[in-house]
Amino acid sequence: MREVVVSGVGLHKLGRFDGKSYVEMACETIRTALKDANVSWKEIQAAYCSRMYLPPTTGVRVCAAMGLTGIPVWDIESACASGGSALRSGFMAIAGGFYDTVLVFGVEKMPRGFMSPENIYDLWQCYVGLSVNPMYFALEARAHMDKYGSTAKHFAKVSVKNHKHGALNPYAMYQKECTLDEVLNSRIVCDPLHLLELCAPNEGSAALVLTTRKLAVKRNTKPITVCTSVVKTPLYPPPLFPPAYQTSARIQSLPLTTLAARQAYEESGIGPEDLDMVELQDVAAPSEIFYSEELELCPPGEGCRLLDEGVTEIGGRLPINASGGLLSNGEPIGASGLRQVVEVTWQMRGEAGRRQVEGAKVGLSHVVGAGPNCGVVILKK
Amino acid sequence: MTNKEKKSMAVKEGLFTLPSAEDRGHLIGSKCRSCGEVFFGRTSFCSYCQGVDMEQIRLSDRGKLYNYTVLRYKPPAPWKGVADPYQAFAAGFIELPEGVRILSIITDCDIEKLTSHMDMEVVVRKYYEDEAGNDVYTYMFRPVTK
Repeated sequence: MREVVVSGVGLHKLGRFDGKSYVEMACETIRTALKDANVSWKEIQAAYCSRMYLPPTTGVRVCAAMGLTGIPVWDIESACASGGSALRSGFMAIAGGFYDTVLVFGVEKMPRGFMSPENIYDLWQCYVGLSVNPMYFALEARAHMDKYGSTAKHFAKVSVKNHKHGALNPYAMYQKECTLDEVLNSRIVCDPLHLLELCAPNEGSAALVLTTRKLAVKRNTKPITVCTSVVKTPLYPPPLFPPAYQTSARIQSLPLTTLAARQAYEESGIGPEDLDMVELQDVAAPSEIFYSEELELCPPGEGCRLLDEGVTEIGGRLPINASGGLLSNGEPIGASGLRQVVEVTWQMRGEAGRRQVEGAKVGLSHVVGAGPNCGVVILKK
Repeated sequence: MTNKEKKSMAVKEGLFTLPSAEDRGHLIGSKCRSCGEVFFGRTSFCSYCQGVDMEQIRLSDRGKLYNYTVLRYKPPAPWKGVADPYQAFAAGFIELPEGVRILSIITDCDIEKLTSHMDMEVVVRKYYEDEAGNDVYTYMFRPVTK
């Protein structure tokens, strides 16, 4: 298998762009990535498009606007983890020697408010109201509070930290710090989750050019190695996550994120102790706490301690969500998982501006979607 | 429409029985004869061991509240509950002795006073009337009162 590198990236600002079509957003981002990779559109041999709320064949429509060149183009969807799946697909194609240069991009324009539930839940669940995504994050939070003693204050602290980071990120939708009081006084959506502890659906686009190290060097770019790109679904039983309405109390298995992370650590030879920064799925503030444990950045139940000790803020030993995470960037589904990889790439290159993690050489991105399914990517300078 | 034409139906077939003269309505489960795993609802195969020999069982009426939350904003369409005025309601997973945890609306409770491990019991109630005027029922759980 060949080494795969990221040789160019592009990111569209995250937010709301009512006058701009998804085709325009994606093309703009793709052109940025191509320029960054010193590669022309005609050199792209295949394209992987990550999207969920946009129409079928979004990928081809975008590529047609770039210019029809006969290449294969796929839409790839795994709910919120679509980006992880698209990246894995592109990664496999280069590693396996099928193509030498591919484009992996994600784009999304989501409606405002609660995500339309019919795409995720059975109709009957929608009819009786058991179809609200934050409900699941709230239930996970309650279970964690019962088991490990995490508190509403800890969850609020995650939001404060990620908004502080987001204020340093010119691409983030929310570039404003908030205080603990502001978070705890924001309206409760699903107890114990407050409005400022939930990410917003929005719009955005991200693009990456994947290629071989040899070609990246030949094109005079500074490649960042994709050590591995993993996608997993859970082992039985279904986790407490959309769209499950039942699970088992008899059988237990490793959390989905742990399955994905362990495979990534094993395949890359890089362990959690080697990481310099992490972008993880803070779809809700408490999620960052569970995922930092499930990614084995700390033992189970110690996610709060990591936060309390300042380990996970910029300047700490292992900054989590230096970009501001989903809490500051919002979550344009198809683009989100790839936004994380773009961020890790910039961090590895030393191009992350005011939110740069000093000396970052190894980074991990983690994305989770309904189903559920999970993508983990490890990048190295 | 006359009362004679009005039907009672479950919001989803195979999950629970409707109230009758003999029974207040109960939850349906499926037990795998090969591995013993129990599922909520009628199913013809086991999602744990891929077995196809399933036994339909009646799930216990009572269980323990595993976790809970309160939905303070109204759920999005096509939710059939009362949108205006919206009344916040609780939901959570209830763990039954058969080893299955079921997500459910929690009713007949003080939404500010829920705690994990509370004893809960199932009720089957009308939730809404559909376009044809039929009464549509769902299962819910409520705290057991002494």
